[in-house]
Amino acid sequence: MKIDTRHFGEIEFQEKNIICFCRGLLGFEEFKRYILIDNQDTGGVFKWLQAVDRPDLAFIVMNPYCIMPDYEFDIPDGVVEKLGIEKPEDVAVFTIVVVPEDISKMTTNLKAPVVVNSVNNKAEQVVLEDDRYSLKHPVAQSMKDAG
Amino acid sequence: MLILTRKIDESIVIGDDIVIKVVSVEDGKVKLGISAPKDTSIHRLEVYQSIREENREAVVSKEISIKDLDSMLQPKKMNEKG
Repeated sequence: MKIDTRHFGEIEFQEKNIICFCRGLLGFEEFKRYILIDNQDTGGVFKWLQAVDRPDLAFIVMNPYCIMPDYEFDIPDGVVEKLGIEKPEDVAVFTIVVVPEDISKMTTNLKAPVVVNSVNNKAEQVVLEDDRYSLKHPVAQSMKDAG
Repeated sequence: MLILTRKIDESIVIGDDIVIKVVSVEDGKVKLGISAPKDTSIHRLEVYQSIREENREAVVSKEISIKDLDSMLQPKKMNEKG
């Protein structure tokens, strides 16, 4: 399948790689299909999340465990059911990154991680009622702290 | 907007399967008990709105190089997992 994108021009991928958000992302409920774009020559921490049905809708997402190895939360039962999650090891988690003009000030949203069932590629953005995690967790800073 | 008056321990039902009960009222705070189907998401409105805002802010509208972002992580890059 081929789509046009603002950031990558025309890209081609297999339909089985489409990640389906049954509810969409909060604020973008009408767009349910996304594709994760991984640059081979990078560190693997950050990826692009590109909407399949809207060329200019793309996000940077990251592996939150790289900045917070002990990040943890309970996936609500309703989400486990909806995504058809059977085993914990099938779950992939990423968080959405806001990249401002000064990229050293980029933040990631640990309060609303994206949970993906890697078996069927169904996903949902989960809102955590957990005060330990911030909407704007600094990425670069926490890397230094962790070291 | 529908406005209803309820006392402690009284409830309202929304549709067929969502029940909201007033558990306590103290110091201007109302504690609610909510029974709803598992696939109904329930959030404090301001949390929900703040996440919508955050998502909107996260939409990439300019050129970003993942390599540049990676360079912000250099100190611990080797420690990644998952």
